[in-house]
Amino acid sequence: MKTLTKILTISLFGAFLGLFLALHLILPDRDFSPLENRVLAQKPAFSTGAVLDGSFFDDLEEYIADQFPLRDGLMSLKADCERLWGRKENNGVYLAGDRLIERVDEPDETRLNNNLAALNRFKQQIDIPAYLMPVPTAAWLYADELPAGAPTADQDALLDQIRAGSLVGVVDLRETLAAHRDENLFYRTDHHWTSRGAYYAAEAFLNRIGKGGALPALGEPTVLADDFNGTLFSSSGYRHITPDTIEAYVSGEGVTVETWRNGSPETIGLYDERFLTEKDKYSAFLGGNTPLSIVRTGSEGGRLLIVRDSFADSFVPFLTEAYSEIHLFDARYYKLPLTQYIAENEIDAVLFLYSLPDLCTDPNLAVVCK
Amino acid sequence: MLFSSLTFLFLYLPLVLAIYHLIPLRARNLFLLLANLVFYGAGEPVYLWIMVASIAIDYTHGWLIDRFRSRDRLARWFVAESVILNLGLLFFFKYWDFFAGYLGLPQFGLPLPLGISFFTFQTMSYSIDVYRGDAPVQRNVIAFGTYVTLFPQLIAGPIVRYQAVAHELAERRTSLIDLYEGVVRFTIGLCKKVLLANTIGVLWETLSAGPVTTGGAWLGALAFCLQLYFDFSGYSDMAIGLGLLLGFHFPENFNYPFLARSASEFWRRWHMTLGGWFRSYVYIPLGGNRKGTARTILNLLIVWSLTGFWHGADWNFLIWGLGFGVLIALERVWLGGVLDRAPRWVGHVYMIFILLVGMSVFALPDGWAHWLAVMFGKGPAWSAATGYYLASYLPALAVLCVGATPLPAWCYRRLPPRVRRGVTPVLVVLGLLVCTAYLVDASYNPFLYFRF
Repeated sequence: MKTLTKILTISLFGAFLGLFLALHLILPDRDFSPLENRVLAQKPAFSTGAVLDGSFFDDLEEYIADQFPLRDGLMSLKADCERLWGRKENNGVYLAGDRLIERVDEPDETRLNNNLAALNRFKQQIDIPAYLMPVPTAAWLYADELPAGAPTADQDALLDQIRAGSLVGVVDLRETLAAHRDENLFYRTDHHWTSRGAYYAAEAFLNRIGKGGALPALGEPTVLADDFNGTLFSSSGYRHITPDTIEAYVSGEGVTVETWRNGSPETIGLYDERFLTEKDKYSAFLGGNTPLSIVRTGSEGGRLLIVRDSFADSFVPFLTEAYSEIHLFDARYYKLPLTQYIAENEIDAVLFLYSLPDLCTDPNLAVVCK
Repeated sequence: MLFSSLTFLFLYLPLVLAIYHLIPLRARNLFLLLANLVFYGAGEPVYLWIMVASIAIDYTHGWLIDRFRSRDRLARWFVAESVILNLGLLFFFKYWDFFAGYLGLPQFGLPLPLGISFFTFQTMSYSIDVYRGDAPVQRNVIAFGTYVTLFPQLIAGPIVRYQAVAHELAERRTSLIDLYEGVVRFTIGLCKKVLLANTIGVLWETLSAGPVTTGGAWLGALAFCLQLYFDFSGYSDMAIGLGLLLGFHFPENFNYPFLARSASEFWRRWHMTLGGWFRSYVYIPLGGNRKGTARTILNLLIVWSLTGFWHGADWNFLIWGLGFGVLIALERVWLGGVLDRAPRWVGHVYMIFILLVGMSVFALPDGWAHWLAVMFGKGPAWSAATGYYLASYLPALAVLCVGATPLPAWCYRRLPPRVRRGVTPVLVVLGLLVCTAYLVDASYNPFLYFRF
């Protein structure tokens, strides 16, 4: 009996190590993890040079981790163990009741100041109206739901600093978001705002520029998806949060979107329903991140350029009655100087729409503002 | 390669163990030597030559010492040469830049070869033991190379003196009980490292990186002490376990150090193989405690300064080591008697206080003075963030504090044998599974003692 236990323990140990090795060899490698929404590391190429500089074994470790059998399940197991530890945070995501909130750390001031300086210089080179809309995140709006004392950047101070230092007119969303905070303005499993959050931001923006009348009515929404597990769901590993619902308040009839994903244009609607069957459902809005998208609305109102991050995707539908064309410019992937783009496309107004953490950390904004 | 890396656990280890146990006994040393070189080469390919040089130097010197045993002056000369070469290697890579900085000489900024502080100490012990007649000379260069490069303890100890494994290098069998205990020991070590040390390490990293309060500084010091213990003793457990899986019996390295009630007791429980090394090769040759109180105190201070400096080429390590030397000397002449007469808890409070302060010096080569100032009242006492971290890590802190005592092992031994037999295989698999989950989703997985 005693011997049996020993043999059993030794065999289980050997089987455990061997089983994962065998599974790894048998199972095909994946290129992409839809759950984590990222490209996975592939088998590193063996070369003497790579072995000598140590990169081969680093790459090998990354490859094994990314292609590990049952990786998704193991990540979830880790998150559950962290919860058992009583931790309210995993991989930079706070667990706040039935809501996941992305942790926002106090940013490096130099980058923000550089970005503001770049915007100010840009403002002096153009003669069309320009606006800056920094979006405070869920960690600001739902700060009281964060775990007690949880460290988080002082987004109020950052927004005050931006208002004080920006020559570009700042659209401050704090008041309107706070007034509607009980209407679920941010997804619970994703870092983006919901369509409702974007709606109130659009209202604030249109009122600010005197086009309040072009705001669509907030009617009964169409449900695009009711099983949305967003970016925070993926990175946190927490699997017990109720999935989100993605809603659309604007039908998008007659609106076309010319999207430049990889060098050649593709025409889609306001909502790209192909994404609704995938993991990355938020990309159903305008087809997600692309270097450049041009929304043609069929309405009157001139041409708006939005220099943006992904918060703009669900925001744009609410501007379709206010402008005839909306150009979405993503400085991460498109490095054309903005002044040139504005001149070539006869743009009438510019809006810089960034989530506050992105505005504080994005290195590309200063490049296109040159 | 780290023991707690997926490459090691799921590629290197199963292959090495499987091949090792399938091939005939006489081929095992050669296979192990090659496997050791792959292990070291995976982390430090350019420094593989140091391994080869180490084997060559110490093999020849052992042989020369044995050959000229009858001519003692010559034999002594070869011992000295071996020690100088080993220490020279260590000095060049670890200490040159430190001294050169003060002497205005050029600094090289070379990365520290993995485990150099450990394997140079091991190979020195070989020459000295051969000279003293404590160990037989090793004529088989493959067996000797296997000892020098033995992967389980190559890079972070325990420091295995040659005489401890001399016999097993020539002949070793892996019995069922060794394999079983090896599996259990390795799994315990892995859990200590991956689940406990890494978890509390994040708390230390966070607290030491940001603005700190007095409460946060004490919390951070506690987190660091626990991280260091679980990290290093976990590594030693894994090394001992791997040794058993290969048929080697390595010495123990830790014996519940946080139970100590004096600094001298702490060092009999903490990193025991390093203490033993300095004792055998420095303290006793200097005369130990046999030459009067003044000389004993001087010897203690020398040994503990060296112990401190062994941990790193910086002032904080020297101060840390010397501080322990002073305390141990004080305990010897006066304080020890006081502590003995006092209630037991006095000794515990004394030692925990020393450790929290001492390990803060150890942990922060640059910022330790500021950190101590905060610990003793500079700046704010508490903040909401400190409260968050305390609340967030309270269960982990409790588990680690209990885990550092013999209580879990005691409870396990108290289980009825039937239950224990059923529970052990389940715990091993569960431990491996959870560790794997943490490693697959790992962002933080350092090994503290790799710096040394």
